[in-house]
Amino acid sequence: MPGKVVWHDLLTEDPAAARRFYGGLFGWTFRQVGLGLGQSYTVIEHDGRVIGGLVDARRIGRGVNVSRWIPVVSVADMAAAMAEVRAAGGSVFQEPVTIQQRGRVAVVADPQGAVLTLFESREGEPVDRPVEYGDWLWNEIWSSDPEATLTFYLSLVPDYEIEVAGDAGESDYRFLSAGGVPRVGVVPKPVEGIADTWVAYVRVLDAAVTAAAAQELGGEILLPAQRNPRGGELAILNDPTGAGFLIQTWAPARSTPQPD
Amino acid sequence: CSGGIYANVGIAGPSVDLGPVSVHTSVNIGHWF
Repeated sequence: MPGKVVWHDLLTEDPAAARRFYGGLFGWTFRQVGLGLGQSYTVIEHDGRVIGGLVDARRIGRGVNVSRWIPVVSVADMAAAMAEVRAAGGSVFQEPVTIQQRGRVAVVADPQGAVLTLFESREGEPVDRPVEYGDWLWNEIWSSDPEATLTFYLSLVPDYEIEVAGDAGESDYRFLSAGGVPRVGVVPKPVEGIADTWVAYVRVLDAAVTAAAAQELGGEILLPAQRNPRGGELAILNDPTGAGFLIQTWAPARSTPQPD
Repeated sequence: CSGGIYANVGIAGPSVDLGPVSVHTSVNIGHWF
Protein backbone atom coordinates (compact mmCIF):
# COMPACT_ATOMS: atom_id res chain seq x y z
CA MET A 1 0.00 0.00 0.00
CA PRO A 2 1.77 3.20 -1.11
CA GLY A 3 1.99 5.75 1.68
CA LYS A 4 2.28 3.18 4.44
CA VAL A 5 5.14 3.56 6.90
CA VAL A 6 6.41 0.00 6.64
CA TRP A 7 8.91 0.28 9.47
CA HIS A 8 11.27 2.66 11.24
CA ASP A 9 15.04 2.79 11.35
CA LEU A 10 16.88 4.08 14.40
CA LEU A 11 20.17 5.82 13.78
CA THR A 12 21.97 5.73 17.10
CA GLU A 13 25.33 6.81 18.42
CA ASP A 14 25.20 4.05 21.05
CA PRO A 15 23.64 0.79 19.82
CA ALA A 16 24.18 -1.00 23.14
CA ALA A 17 22.44 1.74 25.12
CA ALA A 18 19.60 1.78 22.59
CA ARG A 19 19.06 -1.96 22.96
CA ARG A 20 18.94 -1.68 26.75
CA PHE A 21 16.59 1.30 26.61
CA TYR A 22 14.00 0.07 24.12
CA GLY A 23 14.24 -3.50 25.33
CA GLY A 24 13.53 -2.42 28.88
CA LEU A 25 10.82 0.06 27.94
CA PHE A 26 8.77 -1.83 25.36
CA GLY A 27 10.04 -5.38 25.49
CA TRP A 28 11.55 -5.03 22.05
CA THR A 29 14.15 -7.62 21.13
CA PHE A 30 17.14 -7.24 18.89
CA ARG A 31 18.54 -9.78 16.51
CA GLN A 32 21.94 -9.17 15.05
CA VAL A 33 22.26 -10.37 11.51
CA GLY A 34 25.76 -11.08 10.25
CA LEU A 35 26.34 -9.85 6.74
CA GLY A 36 29.84 -11.14 6.22
CA LEU A 37 33.02 -9.11 5.90
CA GLY A 38 32.71 -8.18 9.55
CA GLN A 39 29.50 -6.26 8.95
CA SER A 40 26.29 -6.69 10.89
CA TYR A 41 22.86 -5.13 11.24
CA THR A 42 20.35 -5.25 14.05
CA VAL A 43 16.72 -6.07 13.36
CA ILE A 44 14.20 -4.83 15.95
CA GLU A 45 11.34 -7.20 16.79
CA HIS A 46 8.27 -6.95 18.98
CA ASP A 47 6.29 -10.07 19.83
CA GLY A 48 8.26 -11.90 17.18
CA ARG A 49 7.48 -9.44 14.41
CA VAL A 50 10.00 -7.17 12.74
CA ILE A 51 9.18 -3.51 13.42
CA GLY A 52 12.40 -1.77 12.44
CA GLY A 53 16.14 -1.69 12.29
CA LEU A 54 18.99 -0.26 14.30
CA VAL A 55 21.87 1.44 12.52
CA ASP A 56 25.18 2.33 14.16
CA ALA A 57 25.46 6.05 13.40
CA ARG A 58 28.91 6.65 14.82
CA ARG A 59 30.44 6.77 11.34
CA ILE A 60 27.64 8.90 9.92
CA GLY A 61 27.69 12.08 11.95
CA ARG A 62 31.44 12.70 11.74
CA GLY A 63 31.47 14.07 15.26
CA VAL A 64 27.88 15.34 15.24
CA ASN A 65 25.16 13.35 17.00
CA VAL A 66 22.65 12.40 14.31
CA SER A 67 20.62 9.95 16.41
CA ARG A 68 17.03 9.89 15.18
CA TRP A 69 14.15 7.72 14.06
CA ILE A 70 13.63 7.68 10.29
CA PRO A 71 10.38 6.38 8.77
CA VAL A 72 10.52 4.04 5.78
CA VAL A 73 7.62 4.99 3.51
CA SER A 74 6.30 2.82 0.72
CA VAL A 75 5.99 4.31 -2.76
CA ALA A 76 4.52 2.70 -5.87
CA ASP A 77 7.05 4.11 -8.33
CA MET A 78 10.51 5.07 -7.10
CA ALA A 79 11.47 6.94 -10.27
CA ALA A 80 8.33 9.05 -10.11
CA ALA A 81 8.82 9.68 -6.39
CA MET A 82 12.40 10.82 -6.89
CA ALA A 83 11.29 13.12 -9.70
CA GLU A 84 8.77 14.69 -7.32
CA VAL A 85 11.42 15.15 -4.64
CA ARG A 86 13.71 16.96 -7.06
CA ALA A 87 10.96 19.01 -8.67
CA ALA A 88 9.75 20.22 -5.28
CA GLY A 89 13.22 21.17 -4.08
CA GLY A 90 13.79 18.28 -1.69
CA SER A 91 17.19 16.79 -0.89
CA VAL A 92 18.60 13.42 -1.90
CA PHE A 93 20.98 11.73 0.55
CA GLN A 94 20.99 8.36 -1.18
CA GLU A 95 20.00 7.68 -4.76
CA PRO A 96 17.77 4.63 -5.25
CA VAL A 97 19.58 1.34 -4.79
CA THR A 98 18.23 -2.14 -5.42
CA ILE A 99 18.15 -4.45 -2.43
CA GLN A 100 18.39 -8.15 -3.10
CA GLN A 101 15.58 -8.28 -5.64
CA ARG A 102 13.16 -7.05 -2.95
CA GLY A 103 12.80 -3.56 -4.29
CA ARG A 104 14.53 -0.20 -4.25
CA VAL A 105 15.30 2.19 -1.44
CA ALA A 106 16.37 5.85 -1.32
CA VAL A 107 16.94 8.41 1.43
CA VAL A 108 15.60 11.93 0.94
CA ALA A 109 14.33 15.00 2.72
CA ASP A 110 11.10 16.74 1.83
CA PRO A 111 11.30 20.40 0.67
CA GLN A 112 10.98 21.56 4.29
CA GLY A 113 13.85 19.31 5.39
CA ALA A 114 12.15 16.33 7.08
CA VAL A 115 14.17 13.17 6.41
CA LEU A 116 12.54 9.94 5.27
CA THR A 117 13.42 6.75 3.45
CA LEU A 118 11.46 5.75 0.36
CA PHE A 119 10.86 2.09 -0.40
CA GLU A 120 9.48 0.59 -3.59
CA SER A 121 8.68 -3.04 -2.89
CA ARG A 122 8.56 -5.74 -5.50
CA GLU A 123 6.72 -8.18 -3.28
CA GLY A 124 4.30 -6.09 -1.27
CA GLU A 125 4.54 -4.64 2.21
CA PRO A 126 3.68 -6.23 5.53
CA VAL A 127 -0.06 -6.08 6.11
CA ASP A 128 -1.79 -3.82 8.61
CA ARG A 129 -2.46 -5.46 11.91
CA PRO A 130 -3.96 -4.41 15.24
CA VAL A 131 -1.73 -2.02 17.18
CA GLU A 132 -0.69 -3.59 20.48
CA TYR A 133 1.09 -1.94 23.40
CA GLY A 134 4.69 -1.38 22.38
CA ASP A 135 3.85 -1.22 18.67
CA TRP A 136 4.19 1.81 16.44
CA LEU A 137 0.91 3.67 16.66
CA TRP A 138 1.18 6.77 14.54
CA ASN A 139 3.39 9.09 12.54
CA GLU A 140 3.39 12.85 12.28
CA ILE A 141 5.24 15.48 10.31
CA TRP A 142 6.06 18.55 12.35
CA SER A 143 6.17 21.18 9.63
CA SER A 144 7.17 24.81 9.30
CA ASP A 145 4.71 25.06 6.39
CA PRO A 146 1.91 22.50 6.66
CA GLU A 147 0.26 23.63 3.42
CA ALA A 148 3.47 23.09 1.44
CA THR A 149 4.09 19.80 3.23
CA LEU A 150 0.63 18.50 2.37
CA THR A 151 1.05 19.57 -1.25
CA PHE A 152 4.39 17.80 -1.51
CA TYR A 153 3.22 14.50 -0.03
CA LEU A 154 0.12 14.47 -2.22
CA SER A 155 2.50 14.60 -5.18
CA LEU A 156 4.92 12.08 -3.70
CA VAL A 157 2.19 9.53 -2.94
CA PRO A 158 -0.73 9.99 -5.34
CA ASP A 159 -2.78 7.58 -3.22
CA TYR A 160 -2.78 10.03 -0.32
CA GLU A 161 -5.90 12.02 0.51
CA ILE A 162 -6.20 14.84 3.04
CA GLU A 163 -8.61 14.21 5.88
CA VAL A 164 -9.54 16.30 8.89
CA ALA A 165 -10.29 15.16 12.42
CA GLY A 166 -11.79 17.20 15.22
CA ASP A 167 -14.44 19.83 15.59
CA ALA A 168 -14.58 22.73 13.16
CA GLY A 169 -12.09 25.38 14.14
CA GLU A 170 -8.41 26.14 14.11
CA SER A 171 -7.60 23.07 16.17
CA ASP A 172 -8.66 20.76 13.35
CA TYR A 173 -6.14 18.01 12.87
CA ARG A 174 -5.16 17.24 9.29
CA PHE A 175 -3.75 13.92 8.20
CA LEU A 176 -3.02 11.93 5.09
CA SER A 177 -4.79 8.65 4.50
CA ALA A 178 -4.32 6.04 1.81
CA GLY A 179 -7.00 3.55 0.90
CA GLY A 180 -9.13 4.87 3.75
CA VAL A 181 -6.45 4.14 6.35
CA PRO A 182 -4.92 7.09 8.27
CA ARG A 183 -1.15 7.14 7.71
CA VAL A 184 0.46 10.39 8.86
CA GLY A 185 -0.59 13.62 10.54
CA VAL A 186 0.71 16.99 9.33
CA VAL A 187 0.84 19.66 12.01
CA PRO A 188 2.50 23.02 12.55
CA LYS A 189 5.75 22.51 14.45
CA PRO A 190 4.91 22.62 18.16
CA VAL A 191 8.52 23.55 18.94
CA GLU A 192 10.14 26.77 17.75
CA GLY A 193 13.54 26.73 16.13
CA ILE A 194 13.86 23.06 15.23
CA ALA A 195 14.21 21.46 11.83
CA ASP A 196 11.10 19.98 10.24
CA THR A 197 10.88 16.34 11.16
CA TRP A 198 8.84 13.17 11.08
CA VAL A 199 8.00 11.89 14.56
CA ALA A 200 6.81 8.43 15.53
CA TYR A 201 4.44 7.34 18.29
CA VAL A 202 4.46 4.12 20.30
CA ARG A 203 1.24 2.90 21.90
CA VAL A 204 1.50 2.45 25.67
CA LEU A 205 -0.87 1.50 28.47
CA ASP A 206 0.12 4.36 30.79
CA ALA A 207 2.08 7.35 29.51
CA ALA A 208 3.21 8.58 32.94
CA VAL A 209 4.47 5.18 34.05
CA THR A 210 6.25 4.62 30.74
CA ALA A 211 7.85 8.07 30.85
CA ALA A 212 9.15 7.42 34.36
CA ALA A 213 10.54 4.07 33.22
CA ALA A 214 12.23 5.78 30.27
CA GLN A 215 13.98 8.14 32.64
CA GLU A 216 15.14 5.23 34.80
CA LEU A 217 16.58 3.61 31.68
CA GLY A 218 18.64 6.68 30.79
CA GLY A 219 16.16 8.52 28.60
CA GLU A 220 14.86 12.05 29.02
CA ILE A 221 11.31 13.33 29.44
CA LEU A 222 10.82 16.31 27.12
CA LEU A 223 7.11 16.64 27.85
CA PRO A 224 5.62 14.84 30.87
CA ALA A 225 2.45 12.85 30.30
CA GLN A 226 -0.36 15.21 29.33
CA ARG A 227 -4.04 14.43 29.39
CA ASN A 228 -5.58 15.33 26.05
CA PRO A 229 -9.06 16.90 25.90
CA ARG A 230 -10.03 14.19 23.42
CA GLY A 231 -9.15 11.50 25.95
CA GLY A 232 -5.90 9.66 26.57
CA GLU A 233 -2.39 10.84 27.31
CA LEU A 234 0.83 11.46 25.47
CA ALA A 235 4.42 12.25 26.43
CA ILE A 236 7.54 13.17 24.48
CA LEU A 237 10.78 11.34 25.22
CA ASN A 238 14.40 11.20 24.15
CA ASP A 239 16.27 7.93 24.18
CA PRO A 240 19.74 7.89 25.80
CA THR A 241 21.43 9.28 22.68
CA GLY A 242 18.86 11.94 21.86
CA ALA A 243 16.59 10.23 19.35
CA GLY A 244 13.15 11.66 20.07
CA PHE A 245 9.81 9.87 19.91
CA LEU A 246 6.36 10.03 21.47
CA ILE A 247 4.30 7.65 23.53
CA GLN A 248 0.54 7.72 23.62
CA THR A 249 -2.40 5.87 25.09
CA TRP A 250 -5.06 5.09 22.52
CA ALA A 251 -8.44 3.39 22.44
CA PRO A 252 -9.30 2.46 18.86
CA ALA A 253 -12.75 3.37 17.60
CA ARG A 254 -14.17 0.19 16.18
CA SER A 255 -15.33 2.00 13.07
CA THR A 256 -11.92 3.45 12.29
CA PRO A 257 -9.29 1.51 10.34
CA GLN A 258 -6.10 1.24 12.34
CA PRO A 259 -2.88 2.92 11.28
CA ASP A 260 0.47 1.22 10.90
CA CYS B 1 30.78 -1.10 2.58
CA SER B 2 31.40 2.35 3.99
CA GLY B 3 29.81 1.60 7.35
CA GLY B 4 25.27 2.48 4.04
CA ILE B 5 22.24 4.30 2.69
CA TYR B 6 22.35 6.69 5.65
CA ALA B 7 25.99 7.67 5.18
CA ASN B 8 25.09 11.19 4.04
CA VAL B 9 22.24 11.89 6.45
CA GLY B 10 24.66 13.88 8.60
CA ILE B 11 24.29 16.64 6.02
CA ALA B 12 20.72 17.08 7.28
CA GLY B 13 22.11 18.25 10.59
CA PRO B 14 22.18 16.93 14.14
CA SER B 15 19.43 15.17 16.05
CA VAL B 16 16.19 17.13 16.16
CA ASP B 17 15.27 18.12 19.70
CA LEU B 18 11.53 17.53 20.13
CA GLY B 19 11.22 19.76 23.16
CA PRO B 20 10.18 21.78 24.89
CA VAL B 21 6.57 21.47 23.73
CA SER B 22 4.16 23.56 25.74
CA VAL B 23 1.22 21.87 27.41
CA HIS B 24 -1.04 24.19 25.44
CA THR B 25 0.46 23.13 22.12
CA SER B 26 0.44 19.44 22.97
CA VAL B 27 -3.33 19.24 22.53
CA ASN B 28 -2.84 19.70 18.79
CA ILE B 29 -0.67 16.65 18.24
CA GLY B 30 -1.31 12.93 18.49
CA HIS B 31 -3.60 10.26 17.10
CA TRP B 32 -6.93 10.72 18.86
CA PHE B 33 -9.36 9.53 16.23
